[in-house]
Amino acid sequence: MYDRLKFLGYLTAAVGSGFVNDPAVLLMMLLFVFLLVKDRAALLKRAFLPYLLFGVVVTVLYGFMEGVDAEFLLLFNLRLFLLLFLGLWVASSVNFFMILPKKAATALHLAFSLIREYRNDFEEFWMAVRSRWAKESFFYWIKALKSMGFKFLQKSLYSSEEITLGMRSRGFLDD
Amino acid sequence: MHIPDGFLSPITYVPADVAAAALVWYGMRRVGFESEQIPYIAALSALGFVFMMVAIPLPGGSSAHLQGVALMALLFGPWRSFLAFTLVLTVEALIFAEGGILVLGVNILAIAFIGSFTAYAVYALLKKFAQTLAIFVATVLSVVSSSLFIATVLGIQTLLPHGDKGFFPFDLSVTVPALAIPHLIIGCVEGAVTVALYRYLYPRVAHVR
Repeated sequence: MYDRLKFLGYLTAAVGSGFVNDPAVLLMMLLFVFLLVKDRAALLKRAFLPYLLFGVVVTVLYGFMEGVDAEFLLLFNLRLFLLLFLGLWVASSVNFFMILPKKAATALHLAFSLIREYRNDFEEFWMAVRSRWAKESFFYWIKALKSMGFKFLQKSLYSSEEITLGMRSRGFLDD
Repeated sequence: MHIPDGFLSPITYVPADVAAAALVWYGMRRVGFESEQIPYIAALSALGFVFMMVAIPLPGGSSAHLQGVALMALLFGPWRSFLAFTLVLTVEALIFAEGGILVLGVNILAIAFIGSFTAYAVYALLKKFAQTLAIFVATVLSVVSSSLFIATVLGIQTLLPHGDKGFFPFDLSVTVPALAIPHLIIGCVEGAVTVALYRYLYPRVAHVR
């Protein structure tokens, strides 16, 4: 229930910020969110990199191409930072598995756990492959890529069967 | 190619979110997204995520990431590919905080829907002439069409009513070439990789399609 309320609050603030065209109001919203959020220092640190990537690049390009429009740049950057900050806050504080319908939550849960597992496997696979190469070459790379594709394909088909059996044996599939 | 929150006006992303939700609902019905299909689609999404992690070496020492959507659409069909990549994008947005939450519908339409269906349609159209060429062209057009959709969505922000200010500031004359040209090059490399992977993997999934 609390997660659902938090997500609803996020949606209201995030969508609402799209209709605000006054930089002062956006700044007040940003300050209010800063005060409300507990782990603001960590979130600020995490929001800074995507902000640099998107906000600063667009601002600099806009400055070069269209000249400096202070009001627009202020509005754009404040809204972007507010939404990045809110997005990071909601991703770190709301348990989405609790607020989604059962099927969607199950699919998300399974996908998340498999993605984490595959990500680690992927990194280990390429570390192992690279440690065996005397030199980098496109031919070796494509050969390794085929092996990787086959390994993860097999793993996916096998995992889905295993998970289905596991879920069935625990009564999850008895709708 | 994900769009972050803050670039698009609600007038753009709300209809896109609704359209994406409707397509997901229809796709779930279409593939029979019942209990036993859930682990299968989740496993395919993890496979799609792995393909997205592959860095393609580009001339000049740089690299780009494989999109993998065309490969998944050709191996497993467009609806399964669409649902699998929808799950990938949702996990990325909601849990890893990569790609916007509000614009999730736009990202789903561009990458999962347009990417999957363009690849599948082009392949179906061309495969009777030359299969290898069909895979290559399907992949290139899949990557380019996704990027064109993103470019269009970003570029139309300047055409919005006067009251909507402070969104993505460049128009179509900037966004289309800025996104389409690099993605054409990436698409050609991805096309070659997809041909190699498809030829190797297809015989091994034919029994589960």
